[in-house]
Amino acid sequence: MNAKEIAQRLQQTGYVADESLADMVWMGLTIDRPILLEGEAGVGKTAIAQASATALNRPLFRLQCHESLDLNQSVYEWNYSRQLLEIRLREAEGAGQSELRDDLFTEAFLLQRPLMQAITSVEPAVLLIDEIDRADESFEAYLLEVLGEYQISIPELGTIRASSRPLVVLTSNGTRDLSDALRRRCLYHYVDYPTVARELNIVQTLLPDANTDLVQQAVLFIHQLRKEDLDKTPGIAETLDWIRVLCARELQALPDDPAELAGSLSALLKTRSDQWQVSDGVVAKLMGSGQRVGVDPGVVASRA
Amino acid sequence: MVEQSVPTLAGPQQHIRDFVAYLREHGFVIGLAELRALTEVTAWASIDRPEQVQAYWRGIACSNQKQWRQFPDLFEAFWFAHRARGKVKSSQRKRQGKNLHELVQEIQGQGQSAPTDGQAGTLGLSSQGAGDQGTETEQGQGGASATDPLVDKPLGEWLPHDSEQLDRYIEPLQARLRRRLIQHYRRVPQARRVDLRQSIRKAMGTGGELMRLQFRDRQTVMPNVYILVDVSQSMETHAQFFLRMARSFCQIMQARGFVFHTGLIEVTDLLRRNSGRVQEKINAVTFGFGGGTRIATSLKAFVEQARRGRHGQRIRGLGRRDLVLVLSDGFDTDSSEKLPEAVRAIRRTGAQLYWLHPTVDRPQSRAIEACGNSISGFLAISHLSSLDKLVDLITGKQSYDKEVMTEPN
Repeated sequence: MNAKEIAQRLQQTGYVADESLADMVWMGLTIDRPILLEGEAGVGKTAIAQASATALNRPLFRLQCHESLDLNQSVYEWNYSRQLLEIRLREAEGAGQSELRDDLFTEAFLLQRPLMQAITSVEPAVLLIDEIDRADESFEAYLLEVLGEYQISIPELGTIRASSRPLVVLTSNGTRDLSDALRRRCLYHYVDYPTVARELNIVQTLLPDANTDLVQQAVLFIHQLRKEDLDKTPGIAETLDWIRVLCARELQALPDDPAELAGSLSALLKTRSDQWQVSDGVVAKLMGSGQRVGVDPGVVASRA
Repeated sequence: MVEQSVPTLAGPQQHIRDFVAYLREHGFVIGLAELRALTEVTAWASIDRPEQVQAYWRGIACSNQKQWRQFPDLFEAFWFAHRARGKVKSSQRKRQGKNLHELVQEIQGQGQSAPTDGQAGTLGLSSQGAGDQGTETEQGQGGASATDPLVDKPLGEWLPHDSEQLDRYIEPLQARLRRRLIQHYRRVPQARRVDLRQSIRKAMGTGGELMRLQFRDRQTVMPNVYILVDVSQSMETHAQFFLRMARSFCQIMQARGFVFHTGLIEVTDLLRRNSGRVQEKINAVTFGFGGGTRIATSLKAFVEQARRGRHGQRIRGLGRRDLVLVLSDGFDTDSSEKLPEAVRAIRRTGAQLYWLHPTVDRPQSRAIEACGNSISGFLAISHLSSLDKLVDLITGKQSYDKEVMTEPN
C-alpha cells in the first residue's frame, strides 16, 4: 500500500488528509515507527488515528493521558478481587497451596489495559496515545521501552513481545515539552490549520448537504478570523460546528448584517476575551475581506 | 508491510551524512537510527519527486514545530542552492558532488543490486567522502563571538527584537530554581518507598487484605511565580522590556503575570501567547486606570486575585516559598503606611517578595524604606546580565543578597 492509496482510504472514512500526512502514516507503517503529531487543538490529530484504524481495518486502542496516569491504568493490572475470590474458593475446596500459587498469577487474572491490548493483539492494531504531554515524565520514560522494543515486562509472567506491530500515533498539544528521547523515536508531523482548499474539501466531505456558497463564505470568514490575535484560534471542529449552526438556520449565504452573524459566533469563539475582541466592527471587516477573495473549484484565487 | 533489507552504502550515505551534518549545525538532533531511516525511506521515494523525499525526511529529521517550519528552507538550501539563494540563512557547509535526483537514483539502484554483506556500493564520491569529512566538520562556525554584546546593553537602548534574547536567560533560571524548591512526598507507582497509609486504605477494597502496595517518593515541585509589572507613566521607558521579561517568565516558568498602576489586572493569558500586540492589548486593558501609581492598593488586590485562578475559580492562593517579583521604580501615591502593610500581608502567606527596579540605586521612597526587611531582596535590572544576579538573589546566595540590601544610597 502506498501513501496515495492510504490518502484515498482515509478520504473514504471522511478524513481529508493532505499529502504529507498520508506520507507520514505510510512511513509509520513501513518503517514501524510511532508518529508524533503536534498542533493546536481541533486540527484533527486524534481523528487521524481513528480514521487510520477504520481505513486500514484495524482495531483501535486508545490511551487518554492525564497527570496521574500510571501503569495500572495504561499497561496492565492484576485482578485483585478475582484473585481474592479464587483464594477463598480454593481454601473452601481444600486445594493445595503450591497449586494456588502457580495459578494465581496467570493471564486469567490479568486485566489488560490499552498498551498491552495493542501489543498482544493478534491482528495489527492502531494505538492512539492521546495528549501525551499531559502524562508524567516518568510515564513518558516507561513508554520509551514499549515504543522502542514493542515489549512489556511483567515480573510475575515475564516479557511479552508484540505478536504484531501496531501503528502508534501519539498526539500532543504542547502543554509540556516532551523529552528528546521520545521525540527521536517518533516520526514527527506538525498538523497545521488547513488551507482554504483543504478546509472546503473537509467541510464538503463531512457536510455534503450544506449549501456550497455558504460553505465557501464561511470557510473564508474563518480563515480571516484565524489571522486575528485570539486566545483560542478556531480549528476544523469549530468550523464544522459553526457551519452546522448556519445550516440549521437555513441560511443560503452569510447574512450581511454583522449583528445577525455575531449570535452564532459562540461556536467559534471559546473565551470571553475572544468574544469581547471580535466586535461587530471586526466581524464586518472580516466579512468584507472575505468577499474580496474569489473561490474557484477547490482553489483560492489571488486577492483583487 | 514492506520488508526490505537496507544496504550499507558508503557513497550515497555520505551525501545524506553531509546533509545530516548540515541539519545538526542548525540545531537538529539526529542520531544513527535516524540516519539509517533517512536512507531507508529514500529507497521508496519517487526519483522525479524531490518533494516526496523532502516529506519523508522531514518526518524523520524534525522533532518540534520550529524544525518542522525550518526544514523545507534548509532542504532547498542544501540540495537546490541555486534556487534558494538569499532565502535562508545557512552555515558555510556546501553540498558537494551529486544532486538529489542522482542520490535517490543511486540508492534505489544500489538497493536493488547490493550484496547482502553490506560492503557494496562505493559508487560516485565514496573516495572523496572520507577525506572531506574531517575538513567539513572543522568549518562552518561562522566566526561567531562567544560574548553576547547584548548582555551589557542598557535597557533603554534595547530594541524590541533584542528582547527575544531574554528567553535564553530565563531558562537557566528555571533549571536553577528547580533545585531548591519545595520537596514533598507524592504517590508514584514506580517508586520503592512504601506508602503504608495509602496501602491500608486501598486494602479496604479487598476485605482488609494488603494485596496492593502503594508507593511514594519525594517530588520536587516548582513554586508558583507571580510577576507584577508597574506600567505607570514613570515606568514608561522600561515597561516594554519588563513586560517582555514578564512574558518570558510566563511562557517558560508558567508564572502568572499582572500589570498595575492605579489598579491591578491579570494578563497571564496575554503574556503566554506569542502575540506581537501584547503592549497594545495591555494598554487597552489598563486604559481605564487613573493617573499615578497605587502600589500598596495593587499589592492588596494582588493577594486577593492570587486566590482566584486565571478563570475565576477558587484556588490555594499564595503559599510557602512562592515567589512574587515586583517590577517597579517604587514611586507610590498611596500613603507610606499602606505599603508595609501590603508587603507584610504577602510575606505572611510564606511567599518571598523581591523588588526589581530599573534604577541603579534601590528605590528611595518613604514607603519602601518603611517596609524594612519585609521585602526579601532588591535588585537593579539595568542590563540583561542583571538576570544572572536575580538567580543568585532568589536561590539564596546570601553574599549577593547582602550586597544588594546594603547598596550605598
